[in-house]
Amino acid sequence: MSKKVAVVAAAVTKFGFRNASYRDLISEAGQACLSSLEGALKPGDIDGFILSTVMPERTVFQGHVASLAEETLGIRPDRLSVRVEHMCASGNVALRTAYSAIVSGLAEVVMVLGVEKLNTPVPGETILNMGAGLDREWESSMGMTAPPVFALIAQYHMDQYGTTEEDLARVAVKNHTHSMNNPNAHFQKGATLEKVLTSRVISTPFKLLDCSPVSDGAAAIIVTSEERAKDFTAKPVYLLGTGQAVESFTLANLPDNLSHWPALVKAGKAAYNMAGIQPQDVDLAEVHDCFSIAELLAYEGLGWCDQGESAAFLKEGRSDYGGNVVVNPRGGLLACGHPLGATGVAQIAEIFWQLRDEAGLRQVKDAQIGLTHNNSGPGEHTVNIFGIEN
Amino acid sequence: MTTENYVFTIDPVPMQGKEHNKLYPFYEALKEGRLTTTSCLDCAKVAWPPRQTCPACWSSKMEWVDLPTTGTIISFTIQEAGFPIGYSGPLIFALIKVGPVKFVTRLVDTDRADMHKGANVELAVTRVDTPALPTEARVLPTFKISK
Repeated sequence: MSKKVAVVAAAVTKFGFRNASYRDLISEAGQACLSSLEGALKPGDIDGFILSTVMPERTVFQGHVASLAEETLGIRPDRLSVRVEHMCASGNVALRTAYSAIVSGLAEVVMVLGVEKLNTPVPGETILNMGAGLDREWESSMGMTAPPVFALIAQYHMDQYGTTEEDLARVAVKNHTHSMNNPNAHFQKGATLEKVLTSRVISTPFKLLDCSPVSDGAAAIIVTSEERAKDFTAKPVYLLGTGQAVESFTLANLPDNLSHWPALVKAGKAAYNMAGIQPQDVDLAEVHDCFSIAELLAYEGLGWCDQGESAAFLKEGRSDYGGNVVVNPRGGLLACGHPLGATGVAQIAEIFWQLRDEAGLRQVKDAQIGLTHNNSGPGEHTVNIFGIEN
Repeated sequence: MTTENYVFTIDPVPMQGKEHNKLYPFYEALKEGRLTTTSCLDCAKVAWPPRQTCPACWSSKMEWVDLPTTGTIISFTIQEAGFPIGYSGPLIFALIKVGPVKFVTRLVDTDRADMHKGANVELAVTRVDTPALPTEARVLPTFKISK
C-alpha cells in the first residue's frame, strides 16, 4: 500500500461567463487532462473518480453528477466513485478524499474533476443560489450572501488593526496583474490601485474588484500512488501534507475576534507538520482570495506574518514575485473567478505546473514547495502542501 | 409567468410552521415580538441558533428562553449591489451582540448615517410577503437602530 500520492496530470478550462453547459465543461477539463498524458493513460486505466461540485441541483437541475461525469468521459471506475461537496473548499477536500482512498488501497488511479456552472439566465437567481452555501434558515434567509459576510470581517480587521481600503485594494491589484499572464482567467486586463478603489461599491468596504466574480469553469487532475506515478510522468508532484479544520458554520458562531481564524491556523499546522516543513519554506501558494480581506487573513493564519501585519507584508512585496512567498500567481479567485467546485482543483493544477517549471510567464523561479488553501466560510479551512521530492 | 415566479419555485425563506419544523416555537414567539433560543437543562449553555442537541454537552433536554430584544453592533456593512432576486438595496447587515450570543441580522427602517460600531439596536420583525404556501405567514428576525 502506498504511503504517498502524487499528481501526474492537470488541466483547467477557461473560467468566466461560458457559452457551455455543465456537461460541456466536464468534457473540456476531463478530455484536456487525459490527453495531456499523450496516451500514457486511457479512460479504462482510471479505477477511481471523484467529482468536486457544489450546487448543480440548483443551477442546472441535475443531481447524481459523479456518474454523469464518468459516462460523459467514458470512464467506468470499478473501485471508487463519489461526489465531494464542501462549498468553496470542495476541490481541496476532494484531493484529501483521493489521498485517503489511495493510501487505504481502495483505489489506485483517481481522476478528481471539479466543475461548476454558476451563471443562469437571471443574475439575481445566480446570487440567490449562492446563498445556499450559508445557513439558509438563520442567516441567508435575510438576504445575506458571501460579500456582506466577508465585508463584516474586513470591517472588523480595519477597526482592530487600522487596515485601510487601499490595503485591501492592493490584493486585487496584485492578483489582477498576475492574471494578465493566465489565458484561463475570467479577467486578464490587470488593475491599478485607482481602478480598484473607484470601482462601484458592492458591500462596504468592498468595491467590485475586492470581490471574486461569479464564473463557470472546470478543472481536472489525475492522482495516483507514488509507486504508479512514474508510469505516467517523469515529474510527479507529491502531496506532502494536508490539513482541515471546521470550527463554525454560521457567522454568529465565529470567535469574538472576527479577524483571527483559528480553523485556518489548525489546518495549516496540520499540513506543515505532516509535510515536515515550516511556513517560511513555502515558495508559492494559491490561497482563497474570495474577497481581498481573505488573502490578507491567509498570510496571518498560515504563519507568513503576525496578526495585523498582513497589509504591510503585501505592501512590502513579500507576497509577490521576488518576495517571501508568491501568492496567487495564476491570479487568484479575484481575477480567475470562482466556479466553486472547480476552484480548488484549478489551484492544485497551478501548483502542479509551477513545481514542474511549466507555468510559462507566471513561473515562480526555483519553486520547490507549493501550498493550496480554501476557506468554505471564515470558520472552516483546508490546506494542502506539495513538493517535487517525495 | 414573471421572472420572479420562475426563480421562486425554490423558496429562500425556511418553512416555519409546526407541520414543517421542530423549532417552530422560535417563530411563534417572534410573531409576538419576542426573540428566543434554546438553553440546555443539563449544562445551562445558551446556544444560537436554537438546537435539538446541546452543542456543549450533547444533551437533548432543552428549554426555550428569551433573549433580549436589544443589542449592540459589533461590525456592519452596507450592501449597494449584487442582491439576490427579490431584494433591492441598499441592504444593511450587521453582526450584533444580543445578551450571551452573537447574531447576524439585517437592519430595517434605519438611516445609514446612524450606523456605527457599538450602536444600540432593537428587534424589528419583518413579515415575509411571499408566502411559500397560502396558509403560512412567515417572519424574519430583523433589527433597527434604537432612537
